[in-house]
This record gives sequence, C-alpha cells and structure tokens, in this order.
Amino acid sequence: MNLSNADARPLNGAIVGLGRMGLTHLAILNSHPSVGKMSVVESSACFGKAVEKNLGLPYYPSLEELFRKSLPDFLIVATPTSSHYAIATSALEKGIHTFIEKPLSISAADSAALVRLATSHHIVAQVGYVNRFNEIFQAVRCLLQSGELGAPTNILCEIRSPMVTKTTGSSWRSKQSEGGGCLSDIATHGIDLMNFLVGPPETVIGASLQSLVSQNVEDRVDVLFAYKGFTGSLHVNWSDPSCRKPSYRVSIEAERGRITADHHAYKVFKKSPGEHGAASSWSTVYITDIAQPVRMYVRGNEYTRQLDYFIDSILAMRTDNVSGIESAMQVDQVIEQIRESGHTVRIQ
Amino acid sequence: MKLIFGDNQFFGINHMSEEKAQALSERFSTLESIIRVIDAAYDAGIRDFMFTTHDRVIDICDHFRAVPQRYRGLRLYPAMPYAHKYANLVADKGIMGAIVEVLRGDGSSSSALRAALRAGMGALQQDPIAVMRLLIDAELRAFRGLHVEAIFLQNIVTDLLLGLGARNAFHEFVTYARRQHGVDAGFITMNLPALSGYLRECGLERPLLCASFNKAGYLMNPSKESYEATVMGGKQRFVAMSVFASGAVASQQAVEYVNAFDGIEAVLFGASSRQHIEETVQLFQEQPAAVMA
Repeated sequence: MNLSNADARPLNGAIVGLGRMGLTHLAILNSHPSVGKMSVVESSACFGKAVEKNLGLPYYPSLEELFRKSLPDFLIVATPTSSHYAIATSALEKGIHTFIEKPLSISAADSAALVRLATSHHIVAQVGYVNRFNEIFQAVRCLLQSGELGAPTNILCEIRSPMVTKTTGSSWRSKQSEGGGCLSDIATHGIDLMNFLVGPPETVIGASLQSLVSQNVEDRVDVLFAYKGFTGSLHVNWSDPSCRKPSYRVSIEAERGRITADHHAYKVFKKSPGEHGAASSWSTVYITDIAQPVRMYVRGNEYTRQLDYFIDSILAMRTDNVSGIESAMQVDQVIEQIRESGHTVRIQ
Repeated sequence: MKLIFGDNQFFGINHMSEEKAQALSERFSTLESIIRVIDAAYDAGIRDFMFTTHDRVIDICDHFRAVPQRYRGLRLYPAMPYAHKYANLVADKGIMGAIVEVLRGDGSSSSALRAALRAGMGALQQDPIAVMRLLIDAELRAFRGLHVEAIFLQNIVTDLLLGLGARNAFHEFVTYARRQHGVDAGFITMNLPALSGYLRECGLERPLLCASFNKAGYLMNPSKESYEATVMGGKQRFVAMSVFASGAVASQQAVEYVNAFDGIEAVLFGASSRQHIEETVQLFQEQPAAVMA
C-alpha cells in the first residue's frame, strides 16, 4: 500500500506513554513522510521535559492539556492496559484516529464500548497486534485461506518467554487489575494470532492458569478451545528462562496437510493428491525468502508495517482494518471466557 | 578485506530460523565451546572480534586477560547495549527505572555513577546524555585492560535514536568514545542510507557504519539499491554484515557481491565451526582485495 500524500497536509500525531513501545512507535512515526509534528504525553514530568528538550517535540503532562492546545489527527496509546479505555474513549469521542497498544482494554465490555464508539465516528481504530504484520504469519494465513490444505482440524500455539523470571510484587505486571499476568499480557498475542489464522473459537473447553514465580497473577496459561468442527490449544509460559527472547510456535493440522510456523519460517506438509500423484513432502519458506524492506526499520519489519498501515488507513479513510478494534475486542472476549472457565492452580 | 568475527552465534541468534537459533544456543552453552570457536578464528588469522555486551562477555574477556600471549594482537569491537538485558526491565520499571537498575547492578565504584545515583532519578531524567556516558562506562567495564579498536552502538538503539532525531546522542557517543576511552565509534543500523545522510547533516563525517549488505537485499531498508548508492558514495567507512543473509546467499556469490564495492572496509561475519571459519577466510582471501577506504 503506497498512498501518495504529496498534496495533503502532513498529519499531526501524539503519543501517550513513552515506555518501550511508546518510544518505538515515536521513532517510526517521527520519520514518516506523511506525518508532521509529533507531540508526547508522559506522566513523568522529568522524562517528558527531557524528551522535549533533547528531541524538540512538544510535551504535555496530560491528555487534557494536549487536547486544550490542539487536537491531533491521530493518537497512539502506549500506556499500561488499565488506562486504555479512558484514554481511547476521550480520543474516539473527539473523532481522533487512534492506535491502541494491545490488549485493547481490561474488560470485554469496555472493549465493546470502544468498538461502538469507533464505529459511530467512522474513524480508524487499530490495535497493536503486531504479529498480523509478520510476513510469515501473513503467508500462513494466505495458505490456509487458499483452501489448498482443506479445512483445519487442529491449531496449537505455544509461546515461551523469559520476561518474568523472578518474583516481583510492585510492577503493574503483577497486578491483574492493571492488565498484569501472563493471560492479559503476552498470551493475548497468542489468542489474536490464532484468531487471525483460523478465526475466534466458539467456546473455551477448559483452561488452567498457573503461578510459577508471581504471587498474584498467572505465569503459565493452558487453554483448550473448540472451533466449528475442530479444536485448538494455547500454551503460554512467560517465566521460561530457557529462551533468550519470546518465541512463538504455531502448528496447524488440516485435512490435506500440516503447517508449523514461527516468526522466521514456516514449514508445510502437503499430502499427495492421489495414489499416483507426487510424493507427499515438506517444504520450508524462510523469512529471508519473502521479507520486503521497510521505510524505516526500528525493531522488526512488522512494527513499521503496522504503523505505516495505520497512517495509510487514515489517508485513505479505510476503516476495515486488518488489526482493527473489533478483532482486538474478540481477544478480550476470549480472555474473559478463559478466566470464567479456568481454575487457578497455585504451586508456590 | 578485513574480517571481523562476530558473536551472534554464541548467543543463539539466527535471523532465518528459530530452530537454528535454539540449536546454536544449545551448542554454545559452555565457555569452553565458545573459546574453541574463537581460537579457531584466531588460528585462521582473524584478529578483529566484535562482542555484544552480553553477560557472558565478562567470562570471555577474563579468558583473554588470563592468557594474553595466546591473543597477541587482539582487537575488540564491543557492541552495546545487549538490548534484551534492558527490554524486560524497561517494560517493568520504565526507561529510567531500568537504567538506574542496570547502573546499580553494575557494582561499579565510579564516582560519577555514585554521584548520579545520589542525585536521584530526577536528575538523571533531565540529562539523558549524562546517563548515556554512565552506561557506556558500565558496558565497557568488562573489556578493561584489553585493546578496544572501536565501540559500536547496537542497531536497536541506533535506529531508535535515528527515528527520534536524537542528534545530541550521536554526537556524544562519538566524542565520548574518543575523549574518555580513546577509541573510534561506530553505529550498527538497519537503515544505512537514512543514517548515513543524518550523520552527515549532524556534521559527523567519518564514523564507522555497520549494516547488512547482501545480494538478497535482506535487512537492507528501504532498498538494496539505496544501500549500494550509499556505499558507492564513499563518504563514510562501512562494515558489511549479514553478507550471507543467514544462509540465503551462496558463499561464493556473497563474497563476490561485497568485494564489488570498494567502499566496504571490513566484513563482520559469524560462524560456529572451525571448518566454516576457514572456508570463509579462504573465500575472502581468494577474491581480489578491495581498495581500503
């Protein structure tokens, strides 16, 4: 998607929350040819002022002050999850195009309210489920939708991450009410990826939420899903010191083959079409085979691709977003189903 | 062509496949297994080594210091920071909280650091450049007593600063490296053309720029052609990495491609076996040497 904005005025944007994701988003957008001035809203005044002084970007201590000064064309919400609803609501009500970091909110009802608001204002609302912009997962989705392998019979997603390896009680990550816990954090990427590939499940058959090192939240999530005509499972452990960084593995069984995929490669097994057809075989596609360069690489192609898509969507006034607010709400609905059906095993 | 031996393989990094990355991580689970490969590179005539400031580099440097006669002529290129060390801390405690945590954990007796911590986070937050100096010192501590040829800023930080337009940070990295540590500074980037132009605008004419450079165009943003034009412009010093594109380009073709550009001063490569190292060294030796920049 390369929409020319040569004649249009540049879009002015703002970012709320200059954490790791906020800074990444800022670096990507600050260098976008269709984006004019970026403003920042940050609760730490010292840090906000340092950013203003060193980067020359206008800083506001609160969203209200930013809005009093001027309304941006778009807003990036990169604060802890518990604040998403209030921030996104005030932006959407003013008709500001909004990109919200995942997960959308801490409750399915809040997320549904945001969807209604975005729909009624006909604005672009996107959520940061960045795996939807990974070229391998996109290729896997295309392959599934082509029908070549027939209908899925099972999907399995496994995520391992070393992000929480010791007991901490103070961080927002260890408070469920603020969006902490493995299920509301990295597991949402797994749920969304499964939804992206095969659609959302019909029901949660069962789940277990297990604490390993955290005191108040789960570190391990295991879920069994029922889909229309097949089953799936999700296994997430964010306290796994055996891996260097988060690692995803997706495996899909289908009527006429099987796919395994991670961020860097997918393998596909295609059953031979008939008795005398070509032999069944595995083939592998690596990211190096299909990756396309991006305008400005900051942390991985997909981070740039998701925000460039967001800006393109605003310029084209395209509201049917590939990582839209509605699919993000479906993730929050699945999370609530899991919390309702699961029981927590504490092993500490 | 100067060859710099890199260390991605030791830390389980492979851009093409998570399976290969995992296999590497298992293979290099002990210091001995890492030293064996470093020794193989040394025996093949390589004297230039780039190390990320990963926790394991402390043990590797201890080994270098323990047997100096074995590593005569060693030239090191620390690449900082090891981003994963900071990543989770940042999500947990915010940017400044993470930095303070890393500086505290450094166990350093640096008076500048003690003063900064006494002054508290507020003071640090107002002066990110001072924080950067402290972090450079902390990251370089593992290399004390060894010959450091140049220090590199990892692409995750370089490209973030480039996107943010943090002009002062680029200036300070170069001048502080020279003034305090007496070494050249370089930048690893995934956006070579943009960085090259930006640094020239900033008045930084000759820093070392390390970027992917391969026939497949892999990790060359925004395009392979723009990289070629930047290197042919010859205005800066270039180190090529990912020349084999994690295996997507055949060795012979990879070497021919890189050698066709006079502006490339060195090639950064990694390998996990003696045989692979020897083959790579031989490949570059067989090709007519490029004119040094």
